Amino acid sequence: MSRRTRRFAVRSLLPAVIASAALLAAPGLASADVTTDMNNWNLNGTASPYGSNFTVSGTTSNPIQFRWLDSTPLQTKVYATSCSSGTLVGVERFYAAGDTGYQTLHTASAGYCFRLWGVAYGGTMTVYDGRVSR
Amino acid sequence: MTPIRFVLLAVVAAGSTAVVSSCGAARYAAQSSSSAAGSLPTSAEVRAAALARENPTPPQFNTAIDGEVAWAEAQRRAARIPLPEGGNFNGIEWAKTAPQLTVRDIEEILQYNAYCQWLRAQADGRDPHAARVLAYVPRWPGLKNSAAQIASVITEPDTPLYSGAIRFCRESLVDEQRTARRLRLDPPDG
Repeated sequence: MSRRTRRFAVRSLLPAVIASAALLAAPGLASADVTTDMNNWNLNGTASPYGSNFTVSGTTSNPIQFRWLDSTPLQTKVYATSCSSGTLVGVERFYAAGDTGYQTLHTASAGYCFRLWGVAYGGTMTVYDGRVSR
Repeated sequence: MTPIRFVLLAVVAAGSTAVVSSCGAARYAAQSSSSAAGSLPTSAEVRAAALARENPTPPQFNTAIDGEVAWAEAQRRAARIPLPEGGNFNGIEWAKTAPQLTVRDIEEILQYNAYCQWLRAQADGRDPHAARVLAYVPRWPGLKNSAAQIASVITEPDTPLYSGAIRFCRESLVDEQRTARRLRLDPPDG
């Protein structure tokens, strides 16, 4: 292989190598995790469900995690319930005002159907966006 | 059952099948019906079809209720949801569901629970008519949030989506049987 051909090959492969390294180094979500943005969730002092149900992705099991995308003005609580029995699963998680980090609510098998509920403390929150990783 | 009632059941079920013939699940219902050609609709099928024709609970019923009221409302609404032989809702512990449920929430939980019972009955081969009942489930008024996914599950049984759904429903059964025994009630059979 000539020097010129070798240089061309290296240049061609470089973007792929950089992309692979970036993927490996990325923190947080594993490749099997699926995220869904929960837009315009309105919360107040009573428990309010988000509009649609979710299912755990993958083929084995995955954590159910939630984070706020918007910086919220109030403390909130978020938890999951089973679609078929309505029972609380996992733990209730509290998010301080402005907290946009993920917290794990529960870990369940692939296909597990759940609904997310939220409560806002000390007022009403209108059209705030969150994200569920499942 | 008197002959007149028997004929009436068949007419109602035939009408229901015609009404829902525009969606995928309904096509599945038609296929299921033709595969069991000649057999008259069961009472469960007729009730499943009737439930599919109901409108969703109006927004004015969307106020939160608690405890005893939720339990009483659930008993009343459960009565019109068809279940396979040996099925019941005794595994749902209303005192441990999310607080301040609305009537809509209660209907969704009951109907999703019934969907799981029919899915298990079909998977276990316990009810030869389960597929025909399941075909109506995506149109049940309490399951609007899950309708598309349920329709995919019941029409594509060899997919990871189906495997996940039946796994969830079986795990749920174990919990429900445990709950019913703790409450000293008859657990659901399967």
